[in-house]
Amino acid sequence: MRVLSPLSAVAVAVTLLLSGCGESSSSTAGSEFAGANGSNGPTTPTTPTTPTTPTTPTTFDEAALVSNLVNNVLTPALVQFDEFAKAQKTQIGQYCVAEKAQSTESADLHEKAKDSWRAAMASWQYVEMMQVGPILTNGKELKGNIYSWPAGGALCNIDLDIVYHDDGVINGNANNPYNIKNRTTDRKGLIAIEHALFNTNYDHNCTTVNDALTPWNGKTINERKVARCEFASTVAGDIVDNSAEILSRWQGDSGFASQLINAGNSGSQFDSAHTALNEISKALFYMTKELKDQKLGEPLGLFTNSCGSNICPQDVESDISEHSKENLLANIRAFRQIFTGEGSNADNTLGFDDFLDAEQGSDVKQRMLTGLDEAEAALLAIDGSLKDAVENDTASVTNVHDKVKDVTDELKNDFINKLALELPQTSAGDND
Amino acid sequence: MTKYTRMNKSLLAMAVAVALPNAYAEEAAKDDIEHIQIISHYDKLRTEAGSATLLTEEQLGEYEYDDIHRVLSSVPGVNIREEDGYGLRPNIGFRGVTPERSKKITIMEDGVLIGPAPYSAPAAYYFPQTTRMTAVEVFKGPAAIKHGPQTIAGALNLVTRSVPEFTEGAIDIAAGGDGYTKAHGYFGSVVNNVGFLFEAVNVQADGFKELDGGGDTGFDKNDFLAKFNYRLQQGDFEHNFGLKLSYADEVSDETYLGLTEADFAENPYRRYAATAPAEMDTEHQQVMFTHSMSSDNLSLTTRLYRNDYERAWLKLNSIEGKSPQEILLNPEAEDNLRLFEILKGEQDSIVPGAANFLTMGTNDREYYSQGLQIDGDFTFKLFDFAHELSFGVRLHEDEIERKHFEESYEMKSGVSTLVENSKRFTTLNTEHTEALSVYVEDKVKFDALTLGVGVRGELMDMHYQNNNNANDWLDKTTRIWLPGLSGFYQLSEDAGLLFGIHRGFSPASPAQSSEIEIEKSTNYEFGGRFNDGVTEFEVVSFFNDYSNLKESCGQSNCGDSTQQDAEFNGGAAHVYGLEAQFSQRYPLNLQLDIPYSLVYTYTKGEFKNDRRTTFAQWGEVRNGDPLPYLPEHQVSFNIGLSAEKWRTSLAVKYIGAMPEAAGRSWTEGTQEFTLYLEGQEVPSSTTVDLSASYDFDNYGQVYLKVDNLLDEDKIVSRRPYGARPGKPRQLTVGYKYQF
Repeated sequence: MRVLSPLSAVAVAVTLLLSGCGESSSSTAGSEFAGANGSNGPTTPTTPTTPTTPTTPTTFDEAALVSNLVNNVLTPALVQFDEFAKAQKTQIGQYCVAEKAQSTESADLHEKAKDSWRAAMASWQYVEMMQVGPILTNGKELKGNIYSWPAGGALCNIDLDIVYHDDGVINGNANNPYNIKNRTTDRKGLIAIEHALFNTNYDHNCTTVNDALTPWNGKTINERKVARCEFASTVAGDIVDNSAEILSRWQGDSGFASQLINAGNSGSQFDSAHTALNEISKALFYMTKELKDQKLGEPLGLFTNSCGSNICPQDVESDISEHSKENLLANIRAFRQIFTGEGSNADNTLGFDDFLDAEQGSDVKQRMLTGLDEAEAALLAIDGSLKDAVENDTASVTNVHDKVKDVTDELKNDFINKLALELPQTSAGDND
Repeated sequence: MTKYTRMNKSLLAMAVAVALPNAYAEEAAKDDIEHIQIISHYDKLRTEAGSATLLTEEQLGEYEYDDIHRVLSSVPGVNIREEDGYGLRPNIGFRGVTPERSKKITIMEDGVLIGPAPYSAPAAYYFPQTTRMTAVEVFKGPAAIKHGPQTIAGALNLVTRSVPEFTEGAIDIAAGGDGYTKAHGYFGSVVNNVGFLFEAVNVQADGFKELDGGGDTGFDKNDFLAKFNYRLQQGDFEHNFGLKLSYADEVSDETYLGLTEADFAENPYRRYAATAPAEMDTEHQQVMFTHSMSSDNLSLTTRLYRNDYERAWLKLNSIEGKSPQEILLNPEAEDNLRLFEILKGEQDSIVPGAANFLTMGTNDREYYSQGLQIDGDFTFKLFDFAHELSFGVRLHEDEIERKHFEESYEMKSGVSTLVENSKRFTTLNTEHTEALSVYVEDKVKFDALTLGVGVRGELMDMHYQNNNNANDWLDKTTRIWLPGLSGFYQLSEDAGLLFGIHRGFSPASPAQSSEIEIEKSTNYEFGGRFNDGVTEFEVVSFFNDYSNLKESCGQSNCGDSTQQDAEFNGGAAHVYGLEAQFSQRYPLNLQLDIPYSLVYTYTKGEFKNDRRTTFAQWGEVRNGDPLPYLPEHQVSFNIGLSAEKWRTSLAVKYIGAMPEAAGRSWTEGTQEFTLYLEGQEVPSSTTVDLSASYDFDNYGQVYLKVDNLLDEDKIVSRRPYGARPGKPRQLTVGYKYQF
């Protein structure tokens, strides 16, 4: 008995304690505590993303905003690119025929082909700022097939593909016929066409030469121009196919556009209009990394570039075609379209600016609009190409960078906070 | 005849000591005056509940291991993930907890926490030099509640050399393959009641890996220890005052980058050119004051300690934003081919139209850890029952400051060089913890039954500050009580049954919001022991029931720098298994003995829920999925042959295959998660180590050892990035002289 009573007391105590009554935890956090995210920490949640919902439900009609952005901004941008992609394919085809025939029209048609590329590229730069849905899936596969900058574009790789395309087989291997669909993104898309159509250095760019490439520099200029043009023509066809694929996944009853618009209803993968809106707002962060840091910061030497970390004119986007400024302008204007909702229908301009007004964020809206105006003005104030300006008028390019930064600073902080939107994973560790 | 008998008796003691952890070792019995060792040497049949294993100086000296992984291979219930082959940064787990950087076990040196910041950042980037230890103790089960904060798996205590009672000293020098050298010496004495000890160790190697373009892949480690003590008798109490000063540094050419499967098959010891600049540079210092007093029924030890640690590890983080893991798993993909060739130094970073730099990150961190710790034991009788009360209180503070940065390196003609002015800071933050912990355990003896009931309390005030953003901070207070109950029922003088149940937990780091669940488990064990002085046998089964299994990301286990320090919930999980050890000696004749032992561990760990995670070792897990890096079967067999002047020992260790990842990749809407090593396994491996020594009486002892006799060269892990080998066969010859 004497043994039993201390034993049972022990048993009761242990049972009580094991039942978990002995635990508590409490915390207070700073206003910008983000679960250790703030310093390049993880944004990845431990469980699947459950999008942030505003703490006080908003009265703003987010579904209407999503609907306007989808119908009047995002869809028209994709449709427009599709048209320019088709036009490019036609123009390059015509140029190839003339170049092959060594016709007197070839120079003129070459210019028209280049113009068609410029139009397609400018149009694509709108889409770059609108990366939502099918463009992102499968590691941005469809986007990469159309445009792989800055990862893609090593000229040697494109030169190799020009030769393989010309030979019809990969590196002389009869069992491995050339098929553009199987080629990696860094060797095709708009970046490959740019090299094929615009580069006036007709020699290849490889330091080590394989059997297939060996005869290249010995060919006539005309032969090389034809080979480049025919390659460009195949690539242009591939771009048309990929654009069609994006559109087919975007449009239609079960397309991504419909999923966004019907957010919160059965059949949509988005549980609320807010979640859908968040998907669109994430696209705006292209301005932070790609536009500000890669397109401007790297050539300015703010980050490591091919010149070390000095000013590096050759690192601008689209340097062969000198189309960098146009690309940037398209990006800024695309951002503005999403922000203001001013797209293809002048009667409906519901945008994030209106949402900010509704959430007591008119001051944020104004600062962002001013930033956009100033960034565009600074860009247009640059004389000549961006490449020249980086070298000879660095201050003018720095000015564009600073004005863009004014916008992105707002975007990352007050914009997402006011609207209870999420910071995309990729921008958690950006370079500010 | 008399002579033979006496010799055989000492041989027996030595043979058993060598063959068996926990052994009854008459010769090893030495008064632990510094109270730095926890398990007593004396016990014949140990009567404490809970698994506690002691590796003595004799056992440690047998193979002269510098690698704690090899030392622990004869301890049941230990799971290890090898990384660099030398054990420079050990990955040790007990009973199925993740072995990653030994962060889920409590690591102590001389009874105090030795990890760089055990609460704020438990990953043990500092690990004491094993070669200078005189004992290694492993506690699992309820025995762990005296040694927090990590109480799920258990605790590891490394015991340094005590100040000798008489003049004593030794030197130990060794040289081996791949430029391996060891120089180790100590000297201690007592002058006017003041004892002192000085010890120094240098271990270095050129490394066994072959760097593309040439260069070292080894390490150079120094350790210095000074100890002073003063003893005095006052009434019934004997007092001992101690001061310990230690310093350690390490420079090692270590990297996280491994090899592709194809390159590993061709030469497992190759290292790519991109790893040439990699370097780990560390420095550790410790100051500790100890006071202990003891009388017949009370002993009290007070320790005041301070550890400072700094480390900066320069290694490859990524190339063009791609994780090296992604490239090595699919090197032939045309998107990866150029990047892979840059890693190997076969292509330059800059070619017309492209510039692809290597992003090398330096994770520069500064830590401190300090505290005051009082431990006591009190024996008394109450209601005719013998009580043994253990209690302790510790006020501890630790901090980690991260000053991580990245730099670009340009690969040119096979040589990777720093791009000037490319430094950019990445993670800048501080995590800090102040913790008060207490424990009390009463062991009461009711005839044959010894029952222990105890509880541990932890009260932690934690603070996180992003040093880049004053508004990004978190203050958190966590309190937890962890009860434990253990028992030992003595069946006879030689045999008994043990059981235990305790609550375990691992603290969440200061940066994790208090809403994130902490890791908790209820752990059960049951087993039996037999020891008649010749044969020892112990079988313990265990079951750890996790209400929430947690993991955190370091670069070493995730390989994704954007997820660094994130914590992940794995939900309910079960880990159960069986630990068995058996040892005996076989007297061949009066001069020769064959001591042998067999240690077997069965462990099964599985998730008990379905969930999608973005943790690089889990992905989407489903009920029944296995825990990564946990082999089901592990066997180690030791056999020796010993005579008066010489002995040989052979250790065979089998580790079963273990999964590199638990679950699978998943897609949800536009969110995708690729589990890179899905379905891959670390193959099973068998390593054999051999050692032999010959005693020249007054002229010292020569020893020879061969680690990895069969030159096993299977993959030991595919993390952090790519396939990695263990240490190849290494022959070492050494000489020891003791006076």
